[in-house]
Amino acid sequence: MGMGLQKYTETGLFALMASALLLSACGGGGGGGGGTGSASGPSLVSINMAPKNVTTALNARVQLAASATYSDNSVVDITKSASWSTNNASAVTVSATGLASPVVGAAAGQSAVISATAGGISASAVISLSALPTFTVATADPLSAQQWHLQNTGVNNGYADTTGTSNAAGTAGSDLNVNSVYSTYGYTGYGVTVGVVDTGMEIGHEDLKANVVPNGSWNFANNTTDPTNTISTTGDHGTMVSGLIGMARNGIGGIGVASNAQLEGFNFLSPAVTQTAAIEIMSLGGSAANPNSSNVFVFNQSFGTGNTVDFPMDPTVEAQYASGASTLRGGKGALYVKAAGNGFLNMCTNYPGISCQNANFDPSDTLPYNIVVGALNAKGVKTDYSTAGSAIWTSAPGGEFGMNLAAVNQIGAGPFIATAYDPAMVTTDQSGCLVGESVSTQNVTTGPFSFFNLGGANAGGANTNCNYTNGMNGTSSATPNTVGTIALILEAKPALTWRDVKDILAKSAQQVDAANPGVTITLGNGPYVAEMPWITNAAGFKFHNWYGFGAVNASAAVTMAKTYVSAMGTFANTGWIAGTVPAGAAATVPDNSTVGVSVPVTMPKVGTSGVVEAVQIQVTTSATGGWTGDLGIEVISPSGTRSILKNTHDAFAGNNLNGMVLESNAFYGETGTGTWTVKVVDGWAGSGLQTVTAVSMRVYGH
Amino acid sequence: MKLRLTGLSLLLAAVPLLAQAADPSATAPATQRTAMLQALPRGAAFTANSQQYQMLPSVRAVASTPQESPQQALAQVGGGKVIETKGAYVVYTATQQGPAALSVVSGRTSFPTVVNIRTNGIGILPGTIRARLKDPSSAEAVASAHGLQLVRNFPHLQTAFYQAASGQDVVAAAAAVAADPRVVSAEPEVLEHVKVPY
Repeated sequence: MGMGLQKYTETGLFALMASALLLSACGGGGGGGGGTGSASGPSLVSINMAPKNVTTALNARVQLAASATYSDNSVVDITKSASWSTNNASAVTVSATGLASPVVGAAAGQSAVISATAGGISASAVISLSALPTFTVATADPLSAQQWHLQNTGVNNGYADTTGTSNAAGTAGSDLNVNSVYSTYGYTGYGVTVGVVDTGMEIGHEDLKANVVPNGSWNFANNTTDPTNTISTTGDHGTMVSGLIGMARNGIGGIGVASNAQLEGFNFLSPAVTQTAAIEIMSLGGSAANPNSSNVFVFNQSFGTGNTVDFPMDPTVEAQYASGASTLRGGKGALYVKAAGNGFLNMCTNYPGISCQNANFDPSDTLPYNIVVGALNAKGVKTDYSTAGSAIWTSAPGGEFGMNLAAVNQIGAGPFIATAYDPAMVTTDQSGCLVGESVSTQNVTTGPFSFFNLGGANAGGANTNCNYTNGMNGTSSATPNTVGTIALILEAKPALTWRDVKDILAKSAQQVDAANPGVTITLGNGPYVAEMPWITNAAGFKFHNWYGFGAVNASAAVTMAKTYVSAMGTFANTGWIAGTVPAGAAATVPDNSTVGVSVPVTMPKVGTSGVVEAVQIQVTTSATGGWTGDLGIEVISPSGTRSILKNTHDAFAGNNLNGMVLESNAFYGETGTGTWTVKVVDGWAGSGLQTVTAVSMRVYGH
Repeated sequence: MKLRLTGLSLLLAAVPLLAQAADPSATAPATQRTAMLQALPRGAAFTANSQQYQMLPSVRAVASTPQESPQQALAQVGGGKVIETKGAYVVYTATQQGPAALSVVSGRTSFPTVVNIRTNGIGILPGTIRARLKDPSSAEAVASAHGLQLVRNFPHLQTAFYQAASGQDVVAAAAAVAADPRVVSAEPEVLEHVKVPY
């Protein structure tokens, strides 16, 4: 048979193989194809594989290469065109391009024979698996010792800014407690795919590219698989977020919390992208092709609306969250992790201890599918800016502003408050000194004023090429640190459902700022607790609106995950149940009074066990010149647990509430059957009166 | 967190004001904004995401790049007066009233806007229509019937999104789609609350 093999390109080989198949189908095949008897050109003689025998760690992929030798002694790389197979898919899989990947859950000592076949000729290599390597933060990568959120020694005060530093000291141990996860188990997020929904992702960054899923990202501005941000030249938020999750342990830069997690970027937040619901859904797992976000295990959402008025959730996007939580990851559900916001001090005349912005102001924060994250500083307490609210699930390091006083003075900026000089985050920045934080740090109106960011010989040459920044902060930082931790949890036990992971985070969280007194203000008739201190609910969970269940504790969470047995049952909800609003004048909220209007709501048992996972309420008011920022809204459970879902004296604007959903996680684990009370208080004198017109409640649980 | 200095500046400004201050409802900017909105011409009313909106024929929006000031962005589309910014969008009063349709000026898209009747919030019409379909397989046919481009069909959500062409009245197109017997409901999409990096 004349195969007509003229060129030794991979394309030519595909043509050759196609020809062989065609001839075989016509009954003219023979000899196994492969051009071994070509009359018009050299024929395939053998295939070589490299490496032939390799031992690799359970979390280390091996790129195999196959080369074909022809009868004229020419050699052609056929890695991308050969047919690859494994004889033990439970230990090692192999991609169409020869990338051999240990299977999550495989054991050290297992092995697999990987074969590459072309033209009826095969070659093979043996991949043997060895135990996960362990390591420590301090020595992982050059900058990892400065990443206080991984291991806060309390003495690395420079936090990657060792020249002329005036950064304040942190508190030893105020970190993710992740070092022991690395040093004991060696988990690095292997086998977990993370979707970063953000402004972009520099997929070619030296410290990200090893973990970027080939062709797995999406740029909605030009419909390509490269979401590298070429529009912003003063820093790319998504690239900074991505580094906190998945900077590789590769001898350069720092490390991500999950330094082996796979990254996919979706630039929903790019200024070049119109934020339609369709694009948001495509970013959140609702698309299997162009882009494929349906393969994502954990979604990072370091964004929000910054909203201060009552508005409803987009129902189609909400449906996508529900769908992703029930269908993705093989039905175990994707994890959606979201930033609480940076508005504690913004948007209002701040009343001490009361958050101007509430996490409940963003409708997607009030969905049980989202794990909402607050931010901690290097002292282990809430950052100045971290938005509070009962919708928060957990807290993680987010850092303060990381400014260097000498740099501030040099540029003539400031003055700033003391915490401005507390550490921010070390992470990836747009590569090079002509873009990114190295540029913005020199701008007197933007900052963050750091010698480290300037690169070159500054900061002891720690960031010579300006590929990193030490100025990332916000709940935007706390979120990827939580996402990275979840990747470690899922590596430890891939079978966990999204609710199992939430349960583990709640149970393993560490209480911080335990003496936080809450806020008590004096209204016309006496004292009113406007923000609760830490509470312990009837199920034994500690909760605070600033912190949720507390700080993420990676070591405790991963250890718990390894032996976790789910008792979460089937996720259910009660549907919306209307409360009984008092009739007539009794529904008008007394001004500047603790009395308020109390609305009882009788809730049926949720699910089969009646165990609460989240509580949502809707409150509608009519106003006579009233102002919703005056209103405090609280819920009291049948067990007597009190949670404030909206604070009086916050930045909420508008004259009346229109049924915006508010959520509280404070009742987690309690039995929800029985009579709840929703209480509305007007805590600010003047500006008219509000009348409660409707109250309803929905309990999620099992 | 990109607005780090904004937060700090506000913090510094807030420090002397920690005592209870006047109710913010009476602030001058809010009053001025309300008056400004009331003075603007209004167009057709419609419902989207359970909110009542009304067209603002003399107000448009344009996306700016990170390197541009709002004024520089407006200069690209013929100028106007900035009302507010929403993320990367600049909302402005246009020199002349326009339809509820996208237009392209100097290669840059100008979006029509609406006002939320209840909140006075300004929303941007990106030209997309959300349609809940009786049968997701009809998504392409519905697009063809109404001269729309199918942006994406999400069968698992029984919802398809369509894009109106430049110059096509998106509110009217949505109404036509809603009247299609293959469609459960349809409405123009409104971007009232733009998501921003935290």
